Amino acid sequence: MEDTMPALVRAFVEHEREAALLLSEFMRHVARVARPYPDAYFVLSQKNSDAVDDLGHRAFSICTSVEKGRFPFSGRAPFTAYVEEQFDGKTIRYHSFYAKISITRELLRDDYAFNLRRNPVLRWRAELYADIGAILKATYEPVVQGRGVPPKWQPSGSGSGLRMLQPPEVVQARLSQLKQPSLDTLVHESIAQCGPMTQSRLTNMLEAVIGAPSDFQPEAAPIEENTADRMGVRTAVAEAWTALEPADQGLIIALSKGASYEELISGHPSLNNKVSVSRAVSRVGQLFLGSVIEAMGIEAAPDATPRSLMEPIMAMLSEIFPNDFA
Amino acid sequence: MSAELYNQLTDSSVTHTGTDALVAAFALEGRLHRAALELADAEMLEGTWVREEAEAEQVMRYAADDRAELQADYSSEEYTVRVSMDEDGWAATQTMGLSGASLKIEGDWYALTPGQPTIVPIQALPESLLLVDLNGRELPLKR
Repeated sequence: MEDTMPALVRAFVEHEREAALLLSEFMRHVARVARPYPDAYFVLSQKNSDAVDDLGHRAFSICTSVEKGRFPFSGRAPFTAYVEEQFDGKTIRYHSFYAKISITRELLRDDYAFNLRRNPVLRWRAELYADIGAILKATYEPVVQGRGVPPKWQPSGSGSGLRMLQPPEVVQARLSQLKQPSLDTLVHESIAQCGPMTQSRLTNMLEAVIGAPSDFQPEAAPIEENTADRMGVRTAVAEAWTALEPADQGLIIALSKGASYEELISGHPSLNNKVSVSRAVSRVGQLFLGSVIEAMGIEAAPDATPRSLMEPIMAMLSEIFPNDFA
Repeated sequence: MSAELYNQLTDSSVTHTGTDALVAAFALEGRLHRAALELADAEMLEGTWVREEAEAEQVMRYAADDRAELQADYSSEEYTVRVSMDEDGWAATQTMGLSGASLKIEGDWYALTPGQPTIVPIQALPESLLLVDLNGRELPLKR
């Protein structure tokens, strides 16, 4: 049976024909790829036909018009690259849907990352991942798994001696029996009993052991929607930003990216002493965050906590200064 | 000491006051952003949600690596069979030789029709295949 995908893509790219047929094919494959993914990977953290349709349309739109830098697109929109490279149908489907790093899976990843920041339950998972990462970096060493694959972690200096390892399901059941163990203990026991593990695998296992909260009360009303004068806030962010010294701006950029101290001072060596860090923290607090929050009008959201105010500020910084905050 | 001061900003057990509390809140949000990106990226790179139907070892490789691994030709003097992966799994297509041949895989026979793909139960490209011709001769096919 003839594979129609290459001809459909070519007709669409060169003559703007067969769009409906190509989109229909696209939606079929996107639905198939999306099947195993849980709710957390979809818009509004809900997996339903609308969310899968939305995913398919966005993947199609990216393939049509968004230039991608990575292999095999090399600065071209995917459909254009498929035609120019004369890819067969299997290769088109591979890069669009089924590869581990495909257009569709990249979108799913981005939606998941967004939900991890916004959904209260998922935030808990992301924070668990960060907490586990801090423990791993402090006391374990990475074991490279291969190109493009996250490392596994093992105790620093551990030799290659024989050890009796247990299946993760067994270890998970054992850890669940412990009475109020610390996260350090859970990480240590997991790796001691299962052997080296990746940070994400460890997170998923310990989430099952600890038990993610089933529901969260939002800590505060969303600020963005309550902000009466969005343009005013935008102006306040821009003005407060320009009032800062380069080192202060460097501190804000580093904090917004969750950078380590080493990453901070590699870009801003002047912050390599306590006085300068302390001064920058004060200036950022007073001259930037303080004045921006004042401009946001806290009266509009009296139940806001400091942390709930930060997401819209970060979003606005990304909008205004995309090169610094991308 | 400067590192300690910086790291305290993301330590939720440390109490901050005044505008330092705002900076600490900003730092915690930044830490969350990074963790969210890294976790989502790690799950993608590990293929956490790549299911069996699409996760044969070769498909899991990067695009730059896998083109040669998804297809191979197996030949003897008289026959050539191309094995490639399609959406239904591994398929063998006879590209040279007389009709009436079969592949023998783990004791089972899979009849070949020249030019037509036949689905075969392999998990990866083997080093060799065993072809049985119309006269019952067993011919090893090598890559």
